[in-house]
Amino acid sequence: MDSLALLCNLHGDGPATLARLRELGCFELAAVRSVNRDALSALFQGNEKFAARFEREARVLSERLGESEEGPAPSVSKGGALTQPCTVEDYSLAPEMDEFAPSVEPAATKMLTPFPGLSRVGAASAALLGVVPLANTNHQESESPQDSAGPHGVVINAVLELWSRLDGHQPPAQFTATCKLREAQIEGFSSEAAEKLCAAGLQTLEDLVEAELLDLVGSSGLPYTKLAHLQFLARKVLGAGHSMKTPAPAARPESQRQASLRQEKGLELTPFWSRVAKPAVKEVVKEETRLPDPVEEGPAGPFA
Amino acid sequence: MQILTLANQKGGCGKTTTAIHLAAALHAAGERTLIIDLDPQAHATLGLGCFVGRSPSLLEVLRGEVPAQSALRQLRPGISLLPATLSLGEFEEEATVALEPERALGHALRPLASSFDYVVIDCPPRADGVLTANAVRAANQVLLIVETGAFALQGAVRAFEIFSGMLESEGSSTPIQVLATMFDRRTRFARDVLIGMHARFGERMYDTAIRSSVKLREAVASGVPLQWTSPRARASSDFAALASEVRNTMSPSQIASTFLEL
Repeated sequence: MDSLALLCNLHGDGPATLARLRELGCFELAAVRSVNRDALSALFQGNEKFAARFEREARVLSERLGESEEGPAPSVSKGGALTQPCTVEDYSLAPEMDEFAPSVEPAATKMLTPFPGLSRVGAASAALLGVVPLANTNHQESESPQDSAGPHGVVINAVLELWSRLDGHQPPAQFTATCKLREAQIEGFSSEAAEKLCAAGLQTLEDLVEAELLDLVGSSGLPYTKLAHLQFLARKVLGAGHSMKTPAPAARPESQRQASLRQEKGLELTPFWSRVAKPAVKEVVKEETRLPDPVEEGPAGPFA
Repeated sequence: MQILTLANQKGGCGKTTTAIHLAAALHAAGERTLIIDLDPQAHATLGLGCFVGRSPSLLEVLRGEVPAQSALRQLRPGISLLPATLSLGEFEEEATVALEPERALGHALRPLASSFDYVVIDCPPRADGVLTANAVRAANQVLLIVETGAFALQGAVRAFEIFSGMLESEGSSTPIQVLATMFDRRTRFARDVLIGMHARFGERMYDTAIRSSVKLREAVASGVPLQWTSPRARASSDFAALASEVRNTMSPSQIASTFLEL
């Protein structure tokens, strides 16, 4: 796939646009700039706006791929994202043959706005594959002080930004990877539990996620099920903060429900072996209390 | 005859859908095409609306019990299917005691060399196993199907290394090409993945990226290729472009090196 085909796939009608460009004598990405604007508009069924955007995207892509001979395009931000966002209306102008319905994916309409978080994830993938050195990626992306929040920080910042864009309000500032447990006001995360966890040596949500629960039971004094639930909540915040927006009331586990029913009925929750052992002990006691009848001993004793 | 093997160790990346519609696109371009369902799940057979029953299938062909001609199902004049059944997985077990089981498919296809221009093989979603080895060994080109989704790049790089190593170990010079599927350009994530794939594979990628399409899924579910019901649909044009590229890169007049080796 050459860069011109990549551009047509990304911002055109795929192979149809590519074929029409080649008919115009355009075989390279750089040659898109030299195509007459009217011819380019005719390529997109006379839509000048889409033609202009296509030309702009060609500049952006050539710079991103390192094929640009000129200076950086003015509409490109540091992370490669457009400062002038591509809206879904722009894409709806694309002359697709069929099946182009912007309403199919409503979430995607919001994601078409500049979203440095996702481009960071993409950059991280590229760095992982060796396409871009990881050091350069980090250097380019270290724009905000929140980036120093560890490996989860990038994802969390992206989720927080998505949250703010989707709902139109800022999320709580304390939902970050480095926030103290005392300050983490998560639903189901009581201050008492946070105090106990802090006393057990946990400082951050990441500490809680990585902690060994069985060890934590002894050090914090919290029950295992409670700790497992708290760890689940912490993992949820670190992995997908948006899900904390509307926390559903946690359903009581079946075991807890059965336990409460037994307590209501006055049934004692004792292990089965203790219930089995008790009558056995009573029987033994009865046998012990039933003393053997006294044997009248003769001169040779009872075995005579 | 040119043999095209569609493979990836990842499941759900569009191998079967691509195999069916690429074969239909090649057929629409006037080529005599054969689809081979090498997946024990038999999804390509189902996707083409074929019911095998007690008729001979690919398993009997690989065992050498029947010739390949007797197991062929003609879908339309010029396009046929070598169907699979769920019992195809037995061949993996039987291969442990067979002599050169990885050459069975190549031997079976030999008599069909003059009957078809293109053979499209739909592989199981695994890189190891004797079925995939058969397909890779018989191929003139391995087409790595990569979904433009999460984990796609990492999985694609890994699969590329596996198949490259497999071919190198056999001393084969069979090229590996990459095809991006399920591409939805409306999402920035998919665009970033495609750019990453381009940066990683470059010229090894086909120019055409198959866009995600509901019609494609419906077509596979209904058992009829989309080209036969909606030849002007967007997905049909994508596969027509892909078929054009395949025809440019793989000329059927070339004699398959595989058969010379065999």
